[in-house]
Amino acid sequence: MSMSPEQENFEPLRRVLVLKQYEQPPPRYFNEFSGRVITRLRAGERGQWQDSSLWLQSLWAFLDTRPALAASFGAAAVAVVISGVVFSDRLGSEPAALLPESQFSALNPANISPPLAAQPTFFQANTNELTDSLFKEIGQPAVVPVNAIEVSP
Amino acid sequence: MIMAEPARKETGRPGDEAGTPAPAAPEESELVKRARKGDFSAYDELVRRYQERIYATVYHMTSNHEDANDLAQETFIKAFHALKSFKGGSSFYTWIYRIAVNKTINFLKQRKNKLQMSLDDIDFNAEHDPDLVALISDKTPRREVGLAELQEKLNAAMQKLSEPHRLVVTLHDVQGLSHEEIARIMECNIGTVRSRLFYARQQLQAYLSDYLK
Repeated sequence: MSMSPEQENFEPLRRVLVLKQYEQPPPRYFNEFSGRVITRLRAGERGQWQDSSLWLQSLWAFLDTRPALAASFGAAAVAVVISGVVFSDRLGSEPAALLPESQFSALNPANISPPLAAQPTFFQANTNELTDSLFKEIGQPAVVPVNAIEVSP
Repeated sequence: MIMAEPARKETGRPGDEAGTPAPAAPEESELVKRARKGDFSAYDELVRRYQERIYATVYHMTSNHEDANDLAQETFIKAFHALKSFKGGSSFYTWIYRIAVNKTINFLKQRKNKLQMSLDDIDFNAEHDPDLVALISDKTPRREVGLAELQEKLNAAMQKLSEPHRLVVTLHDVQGLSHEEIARIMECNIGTVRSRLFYARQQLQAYLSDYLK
C-alpha cells in the first residue's frame, strides 16, 4: 500500500469535496457575526461587575433553587437569634454566674473601700415620699355582681 | 445551511496573498495589542478578518449551523479573554485556529457520548420499523443522485471519520490550507498531517464508492 497521497488517485473525491465550499450560512450572517461577539463580550463584563456588587442576589438565587438548604439556613438564622436573646437575658439577670467568685466579691458594695463609700452621693434629690410600688396607686377593680339569667325552654 | 456560491479560498493570512493589502488596514499585531487593552473596536476588526474561516472549519467539523455558530462565537470570546496569555510565538491566525479546533473537538467528544445514548434508543425501535427494514434490505445502489443527496452522503461520510482525520480533510481539501499551516494548528509534524490526510481520503473514498464511480 502506498503512503503517498500523490500516488493515489483521489481526484474524483476531491471533485466531490468541492461541494463543501458551497455550503454557506444564511445571507448576511457574517455581517452581524462580529457584532454578536462584541455584544456578548460587553454583556459578560457587565455581568461580572454586577456579580461582584450584588452578591446577595446570587446567594438568594442559589437558595431559591434549593428549598431544603434555604430552610436549613433559615432555621439556623432563627436559632442564632433565639440563642442571642436567651443569652442576653441571662447576662442581665445573673451576673454572678458569669463572673468568677473573686471578681464578683470585688463588686459587692460591702467590700468597697471606705473612702469611696464615704463619699457623698447626690442621687436622692427628690424629697417626695416614695411609694412601695407603683401598683398600689392603681385602684382595685370594682366588683360588679352578676345576676343569673333564666332562660325558658 | 444553504447552497450558495463557494467561499473564497483563502490560504494564508491577510497580507500574505498575492498583491498588496489595503493600505488603511492596521497591522494584526497592532490590533492584538489594542484588543489586549480592552479595545473592542480593534477586536471587532480581528473577528471580521477570521470569522468566515473559523466558522467554516467548525461547520465542516460539526455539519450543523447552530453548533458552528455557537462554537465560532465562543472561540472568539475565549480568545479575547485569553489574549493576555497570547505571547505572539505564533501568529494570531494560528493561535485562534487552535482554540477553535480544540473547542470543536471537545464539543464533538461530548456530542458523541450523547449520540451514543440516543442511538441505543433508536436501535431498539428501528428493528421493529417495517419501512426501515425494507430500506436496508434493498441492496441496489443508486448511482444517479441529486446534488443535495450527494452532499448529504458526503457529510455523513465526513462524520464517520475520526476528529483528527476530519480536521485534516477540512483544512486541506475544503479550506485549502497547506500541510505546514495544518501542522502548526494541530501541533504535530508535517508527516503526521500527510499520513492522516492519506488515510482520511482512503476512508472517504470507500464510504462514497457508489457515488464516485
